[in-house]
Amino acid sequence: MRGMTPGMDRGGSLAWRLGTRGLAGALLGFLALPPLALALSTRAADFTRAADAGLLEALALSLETTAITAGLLAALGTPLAWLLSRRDDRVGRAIELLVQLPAVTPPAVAGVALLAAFGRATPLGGSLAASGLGVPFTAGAVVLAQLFVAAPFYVLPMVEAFRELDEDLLWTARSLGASPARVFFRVALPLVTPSLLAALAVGWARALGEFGATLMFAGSLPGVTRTLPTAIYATMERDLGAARALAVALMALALVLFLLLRGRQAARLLGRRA
Amino acid sequence: MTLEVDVGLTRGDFRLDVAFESDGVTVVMGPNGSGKTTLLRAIVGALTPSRGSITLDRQILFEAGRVDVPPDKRRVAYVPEGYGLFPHLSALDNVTFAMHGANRAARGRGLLRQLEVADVADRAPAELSAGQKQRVALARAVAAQPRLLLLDEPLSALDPAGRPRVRRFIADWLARYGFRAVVVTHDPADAATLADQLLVLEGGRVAQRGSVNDVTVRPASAFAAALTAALLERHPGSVPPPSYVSEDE
Repeated sequence: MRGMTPGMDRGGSLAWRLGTRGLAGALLGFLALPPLALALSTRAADFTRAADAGLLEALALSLETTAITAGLLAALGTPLAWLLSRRDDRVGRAIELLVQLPAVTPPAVAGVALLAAFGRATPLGGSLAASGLGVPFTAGAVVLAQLFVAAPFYVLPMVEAFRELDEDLLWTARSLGASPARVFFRVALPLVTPSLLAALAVGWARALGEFGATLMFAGSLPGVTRTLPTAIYATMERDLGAARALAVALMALALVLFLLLRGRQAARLLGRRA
Repeated sequence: MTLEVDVGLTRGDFRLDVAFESDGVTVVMGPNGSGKTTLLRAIVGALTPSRGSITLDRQILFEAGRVDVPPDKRRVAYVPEGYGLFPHLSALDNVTFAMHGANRAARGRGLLRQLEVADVADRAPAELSAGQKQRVALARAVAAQPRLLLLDEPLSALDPAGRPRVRRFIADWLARYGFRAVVVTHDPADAATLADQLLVLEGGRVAQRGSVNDVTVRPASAFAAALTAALLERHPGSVPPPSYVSEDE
């Protein structure tokens, strides 16, 4: 077993040691209590009623839409992160700030903003609707709402990951005859894969939990736009037990995705302790 | 002259302004921060000079505001300090990365054999010793069929005891295949063994240029004089005694 490094704490007063541990323990306890209470208070019967309330439908829609969102994050976010990482000027920094905006935008604002852009009464939304591609209150709207709020959580860590690459390695590859595309696909991308999976896990989790913008921009139509989070909200007023079961399902799904994308990292972390 | 460099560029507070020609092997020496690596990066095409030109075999690689051949079209292979092997590729895949056409694996193994590291072809760079990494990096550089090699501190990662042998090996290897190279180093012994021409950089400028003899016999700066002293001390006989010594005798 790997010992702990000799603590900075060594020789600290009793008050200091009890104080720090007490405060840290209070937050840890608070963080652990709700999920624990949720898991313990949910009965098998709750799941039956949740199934009647559309658990499987919502679960499938959540999986489907977040998978598409994750795919879009990787396909669109990776090039953006790469381009941003390659420049160090005002324009680059301004774009980075812009990408960060959705992360600090309240979801309700994001929902209204998405409606303002794609709503049927707007020029863009109107012409899309006229050609049969109306977005609001469709599964497509669910994906757009998720993409909007999740993008910063994927793109910004990826910018950092690309920036941390050894410049000399990339220039060496170019000097050996590799085109920029080849350097990207054969050198840069493989080297950031662990960071990419980690960023994708965070982005995916954010998409999975998307609620406010989805509700306002896509609604909560069972089977069409009702994802697990909006299903919890819709069920909660009528049946708290069923809502709890839906919440447990959502938590389990997030955990499974987390383990899928970051399992190796988690295993390494636990292995180090053993 | 096959390589002609006459460039100026500014990075922050630092200004590089150099002009030289090179055929065979040019060894670049100078104090830390004198612009050695910056010069290599400019020749690679990783930095864009603000003035001047770089010409290789009469092809203009760079001319300020007019020509800027991208790095992958310059046929100038860069071996950075620490060797720059791609950590996610095996030694062999590192070499074949630089190759085109058929039979890459066979040709790659041939190059590794030529550099006496065929036995580590399937290993990852992290599993190689510094000396093996260096040879794999040289094999990879040659695999790109460059017209010019740029080596940044090729021996600094090796333990001092092993350096003379490796230095000799590189010198023989460069000579046997007629490779032209620009080699950056801080070790005077590298200059004595490898250099057809020695370029002393100080503060971003060429302080002195000539054969190792020229520079050590008539050092033009304190750095060049210290270089002479270091060579005389560590490698007696590698430098002809300065003229004033022989006159006294």
